[in-house]
Amino acid sequence: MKTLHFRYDLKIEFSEPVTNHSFTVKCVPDTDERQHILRQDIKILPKEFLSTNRDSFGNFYFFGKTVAEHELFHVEEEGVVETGWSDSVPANDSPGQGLCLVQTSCTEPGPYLKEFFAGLNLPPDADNREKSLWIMDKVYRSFSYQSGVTTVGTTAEDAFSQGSGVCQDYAHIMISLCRMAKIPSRYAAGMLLGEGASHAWVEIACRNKWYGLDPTNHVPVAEDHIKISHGRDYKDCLINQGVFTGNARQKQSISVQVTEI
Amino acid sequence: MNLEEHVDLYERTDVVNSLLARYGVKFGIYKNNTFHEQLFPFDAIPRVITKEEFAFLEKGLKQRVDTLNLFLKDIYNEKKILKDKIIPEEFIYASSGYLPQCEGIIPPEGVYSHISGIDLVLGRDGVWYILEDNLRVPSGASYPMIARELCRRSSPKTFHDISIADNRTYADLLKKTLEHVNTGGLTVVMTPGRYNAAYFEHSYLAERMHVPLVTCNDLTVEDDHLYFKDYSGKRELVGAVYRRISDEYMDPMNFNPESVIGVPHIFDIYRKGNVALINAPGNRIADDKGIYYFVPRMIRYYLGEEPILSNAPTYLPYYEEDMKYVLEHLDSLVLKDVAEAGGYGVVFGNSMSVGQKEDFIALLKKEPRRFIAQEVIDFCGLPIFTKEGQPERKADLRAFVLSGEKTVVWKSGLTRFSRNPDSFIVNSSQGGGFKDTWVLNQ
Amino acid sequence: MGVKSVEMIDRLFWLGRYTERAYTTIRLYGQKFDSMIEEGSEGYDAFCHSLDIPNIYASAEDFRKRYPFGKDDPNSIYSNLLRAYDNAIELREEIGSETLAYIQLAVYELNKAAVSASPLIEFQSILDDILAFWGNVDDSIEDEHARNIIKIGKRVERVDLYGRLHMDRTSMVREVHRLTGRIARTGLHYREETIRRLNELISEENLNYPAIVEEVDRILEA
Repeated sequence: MKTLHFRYDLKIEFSEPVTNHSFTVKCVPDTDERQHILRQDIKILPKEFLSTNRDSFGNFYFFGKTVAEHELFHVEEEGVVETGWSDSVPANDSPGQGLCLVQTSCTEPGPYLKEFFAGLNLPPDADNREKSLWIMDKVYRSFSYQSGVTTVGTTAEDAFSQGSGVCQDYAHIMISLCRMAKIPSRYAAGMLLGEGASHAWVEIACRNKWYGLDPTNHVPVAEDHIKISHGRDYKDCLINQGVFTGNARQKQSISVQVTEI
Repeated sequence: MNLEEHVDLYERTDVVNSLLARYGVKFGIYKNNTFHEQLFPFDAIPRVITKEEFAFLEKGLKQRVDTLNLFLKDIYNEKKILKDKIIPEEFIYASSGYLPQCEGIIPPEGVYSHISGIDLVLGRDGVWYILEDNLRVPSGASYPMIARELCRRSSPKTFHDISIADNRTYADLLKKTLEHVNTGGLTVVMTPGRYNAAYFEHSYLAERMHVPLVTCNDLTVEDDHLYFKDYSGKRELVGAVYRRISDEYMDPMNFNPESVIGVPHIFDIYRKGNVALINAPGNRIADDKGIYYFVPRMIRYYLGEEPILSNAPTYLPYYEEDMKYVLEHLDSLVLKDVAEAGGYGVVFGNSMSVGQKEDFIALLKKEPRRFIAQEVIDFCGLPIFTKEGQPERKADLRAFVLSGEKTVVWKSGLTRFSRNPDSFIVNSSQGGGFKDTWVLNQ
Repeated sequence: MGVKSVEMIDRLFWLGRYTERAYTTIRLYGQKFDSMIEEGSEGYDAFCHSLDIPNIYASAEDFRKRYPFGKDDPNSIYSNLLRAYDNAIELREEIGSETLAYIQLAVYELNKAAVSASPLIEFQSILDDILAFWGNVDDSIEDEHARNIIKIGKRVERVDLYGRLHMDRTSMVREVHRLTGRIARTGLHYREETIRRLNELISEENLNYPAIVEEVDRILEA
């Protein structure tokens, strides 16, 4: 078990003032079997009304609206979490594992991933957890970390065919392969000890439990990860969504600090 | 009742059509990317349904719609029907009609499909067959409503002599259905705008119900509630939205982010139970042609009853034995792409060339879940009035079933007929016209 | 019903304006058409000038066709009537199908006139339809507020058109007085300064028509 302090800072700068800005922010970690939130403070500015809800995966989110003109939207968050209470979370939740077997537009395999899958030599008698560790190992060895070569819209197939990418790409590739192997798997977004940006990994279902696996770092998720949300793919875990009036370009910057105390 | 005596009604088909033109009874259509308003040709020879026949249909339709409502609630919540393996999971999760966003939501009063449009045909064997369930935004009720009004003007004697259930009460029925689920506040009709195919209907139903017709610009979400913005800056709470806009475009924060005709966050407050959306989002799963196959099983599963109304005999290539049957009988089957609607994505096996057949079979084997195959039902035509005589045209019936406090079948319906004598396709977006549907009181 | 959006107020106002514009220009065109039967090609330039619209017509024949029926000519009668229709069609639930029907009928008649050898006959039907429309506005629109806004559109358009046409003082005074009498009843935010200025302008010795036109078009400015 570890006690982690985190600071999460999301800034959206608009090139020109905008109005009627509706926003949804999904960047708040929540207590579950694996992690316990001891305290957290959140500031969202500007806002004219602010409300909270949970999405259909159970992820907590803020939503609200700012009508008045503004050039900056800022979310500041800070808190303390105990991690490593368990190695898994129960997998009897809704919508359930069946949904996590279906490929999405982000994970749909093409020829590269299909060929790679065919050459995996998965151990036939292994359980889902062992199989997915096997898959993680293969992905880690066949894909390299490089930022700036993919975007948030890059699919698993496209990322894999070019051979490198970031944590989001690792996760999508691994999910695609797990689903081909009929292992229910989902995308998880969160923070990682020592890392300055937001992080993403994979959760797979085995014996009615979700286990986290981090293919970018080739480790099972244990004490260093703080989970924010999960879903079918990246799109279910968008940190920020917004619509506004105005002809502005927006620049999003996220800075994360996780330290052990 | 002898309809022959009421030939004056038919002879005034032109008069009724000119009155329909007067009131702008049109539907919109896009041709070469430009918008046109088109009149919907009316034929005055009605479809007549006897009291007994209607009682039978009513019972069957209620059974079906009640079941579909139970199915939707189950699918988005407990999923008993999946756990009990009545429907294979992937038929739900891989369908584009299933919306994960709707998981765990129980709409106000537990109603999912408030207005259901069920398409039927009468087979030559005398059996009514269900062709399609439309549980999203079924349109068409306004046409027989206004046509009845105008036929009564043009041939009062007919309506004096024959006792026909008044279908003009649809607006009251609809309003009651909407108000049953209203969470407190105004009831409004929401339209994507006048360039929508069914804009006439949106505006006509709003007029007849005496409720505001609104677009996304008129609505705003604030403080967890939905409001209608008044020109003077005042705002009024909205409790029920009869939205004639599809799920994808309803809320850019939760569905298609590019949508400019939606209301941001309307879905978030719907999730909280603070507004009723009619029909409920996520209903498309019940319209899925693959799911259609399972409706008779659903009726047995949820109600423990035998289905009263029949499906057209349908095969699911997903199941091996059905695939075998489909490949052997391709020529006698009609093939439907489960993702398409409105008469598109429908191919008759016997109309394909050898090459087309090969391509189709390859596609079918690659994506078996994408198609259903049905026996071609030889369904009855109805006569239409022309100066040269009364030739037959293929005709279907869209019955409207309203689920509020209880489930009610509207005593009328939209009867559509095909434009050409040899066509089986009766969809208004592909030509063709409509008739009034009479339900006799005696 | 009560609640009215900004868009609806706007549509009600412009429905009144464009219906009135179509009505008055049809009457004027009818007079011009009649005089052109003998005069032939003369005078359409003056007509355009009096209406304050650009003379884009190549010949008298071109004018006779395009001014009333030109679909691409933004100043044609067709364009004005169609703008009335575009507003009306989005107001069905507010003004009622019966009222809307008269604008629809006027559009059908105009399409018939376009292919007629004697368009003045169809024009008469259009004028009848528009008068019936106004009758229905008074008679069957239950919401007084909505009724007043359509009518204020008509009154504003009258002052604007009559000003452009340099109508006599009696007509101008009558129209400004009608506008003054009704606008307070709409509950709309309007420019009170405009009403004051208009009443000043019509009492001047030499009527300053351009100033009247300019002033009346500012009436709903915030």
